Amino acid sequence: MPRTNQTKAWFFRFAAMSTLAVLGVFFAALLVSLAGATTASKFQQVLGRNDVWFAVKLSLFTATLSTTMAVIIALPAAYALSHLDFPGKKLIDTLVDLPIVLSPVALGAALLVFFNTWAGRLIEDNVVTFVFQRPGLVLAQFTVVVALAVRLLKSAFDLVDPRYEQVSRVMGCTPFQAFTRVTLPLARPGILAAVILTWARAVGEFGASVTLAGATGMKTETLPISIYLSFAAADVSKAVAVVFVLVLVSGIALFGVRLLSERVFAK
Amino acid sequence: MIRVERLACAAGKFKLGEITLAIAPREYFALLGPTGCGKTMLLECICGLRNINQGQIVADGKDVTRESPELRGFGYVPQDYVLLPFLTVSENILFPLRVQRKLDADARAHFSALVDILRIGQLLDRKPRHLSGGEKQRVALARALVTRPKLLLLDEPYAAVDMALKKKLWAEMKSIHGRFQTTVLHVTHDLDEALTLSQRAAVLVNGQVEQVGPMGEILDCPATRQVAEFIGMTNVYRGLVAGIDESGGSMTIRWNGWMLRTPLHNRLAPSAEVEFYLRPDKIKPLTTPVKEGTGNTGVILAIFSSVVVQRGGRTLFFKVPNGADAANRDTEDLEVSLSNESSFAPREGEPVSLSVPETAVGVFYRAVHPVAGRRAADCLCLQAGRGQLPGTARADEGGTGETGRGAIGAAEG
Repeated sequence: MPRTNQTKAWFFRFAAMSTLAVLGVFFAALLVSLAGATTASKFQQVLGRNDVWFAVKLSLFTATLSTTMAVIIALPAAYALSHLDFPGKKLIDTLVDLPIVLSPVALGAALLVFFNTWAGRLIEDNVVTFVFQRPGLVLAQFTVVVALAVRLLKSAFDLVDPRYEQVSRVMGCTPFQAFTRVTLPLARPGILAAVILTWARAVGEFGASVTLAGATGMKTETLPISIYLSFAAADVSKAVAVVFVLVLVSGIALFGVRLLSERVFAK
Repeated sequence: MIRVERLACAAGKFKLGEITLAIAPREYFALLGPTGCGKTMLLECICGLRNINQGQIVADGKDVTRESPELRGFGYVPQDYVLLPFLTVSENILFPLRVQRKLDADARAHFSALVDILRIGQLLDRKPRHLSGGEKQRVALARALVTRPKLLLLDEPYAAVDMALKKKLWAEMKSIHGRFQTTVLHVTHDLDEALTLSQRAAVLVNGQVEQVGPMGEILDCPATRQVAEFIGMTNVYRGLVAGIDESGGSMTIRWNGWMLRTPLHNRLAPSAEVEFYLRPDKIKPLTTPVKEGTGNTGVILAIFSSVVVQRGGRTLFFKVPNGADAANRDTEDLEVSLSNESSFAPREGEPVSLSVPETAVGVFYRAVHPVAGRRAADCLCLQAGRGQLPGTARADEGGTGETGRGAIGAAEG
């Protein structure tokens, strides 16, 4: 390679790597500054507090419940969007994406407004009370993550060649058998990755939750709400400890997704 | 018996049909055609994977047109085999029996027999990604046969295997068909494959069935220009009926100023325009040259231009000038095939006299309009020396006269 071309290639490589390095330094600086705001002994002490454990348990419970509900709804919906043809498919596909781009606070506000209508009040009075209650956390998380679940699951189904399902029909599968015995196993790694990402997003959900369920300590105090309440009360040590718990949960989830993605592409 | 009647299907701008075919019980039937002619589409219509616009599919006397694919009872080997990657070979083969809840002792015995015949016993615990192309083909075949289907549909199953293995697999397929006597519809674009395996074949071009009959007949006596082009025949021309000798059972065609003799076609009138082909292997160079404009029937003068050497022989390319008018500069291209035994080697630009006997000249019978009140199939085959109706199978071709005639009727329909 001529010398000038070599220099250009080296410069391009350097420019690309530099931006990566800047990003890495930026996030590392954030974590370091967080770590600097507390000490190991304070961290341990905070982790032993009841309100922190309450937030951890409530977050894991509500995120698991809202993710389960979201996946139950999203799985067939994503399959329909991916493998079936029907009128208005593009419009529905676009509508499903709306909650992803909308601010969670807007979604929470929409839910709050809904429960002020006669239909909403009917549900509140006769079925479940959502507003400023723990079920409100689950509903808010569900509303925010269900669209994400549809989008991620659709991507998982898009990776499955419809030929498998077609050929299985000739082999004797009913449409339901073809879905459960062929398409689902083929999409399994993608589905697992989608479930983990949806769950991680539900754990971190704040805007819709705080709008619908409110921010009440030891009642609707999930991990993100706990951070918000801690800062509001100027309890920086608790806020930092909870941030690290969230980072840990998200890190484990993303590592799991990476492992599953490698399995999909190694297939 | 599998019958497809007036089937039509459309996908975008491509239209298939109307297709009418009849496959006899236990028959090995090939569906031939160039890429993009609609072979796979027709197969998917028969399987039930594609909705049809009109027509009927009848299997063993039962109309299955509106039935779901899983209720038709057909076996299917797709071109890419579509083995389930998360199952082992044995689980793949047993999959249709499991979903149909038919995994009894008899089915297991049949599974074992198939495993033995296809020699895949050592592969049973492997996953499909660890199989070669030939092994995948065998596994897909076993999976399709394990339910004892009414009809086995094979979609170019040997397209992904090399020639040496292909021949082995053809032999294996022949023996499997002989043993299980399954009715087979085999889609391929490979003439040798169809010739080796099938008892009869249909040629599909641009979504239309152009010809149905034994492979030997399709190769010897193509019904239309499209069939001729598909089987690689290039010597296709237009001429005029110059004379009819009813007592001698022949007629003369005037082509580019030359006179050629072919068996009599009783539906052609003198001066009628006719489309015909010249078989390159039947044309022979003459040692005695012929003069232009002599009017010798069955002899033409051609200018040698080039040669291509192939396994088993050579193909010589000629330019044929006008035989009646030397001033006419219009020439026709002509190919002549010579075996390796022939030492004939003209120089470029050398005029060569060629003998074109009756056996070398064939008229496309489908291009001729039938006489009122008679079916086209009742008109004689114009391939010289055959003295037989197109579609009527000869004993050595393995079919029956009945099915052959039915097929031509179907093709005309």
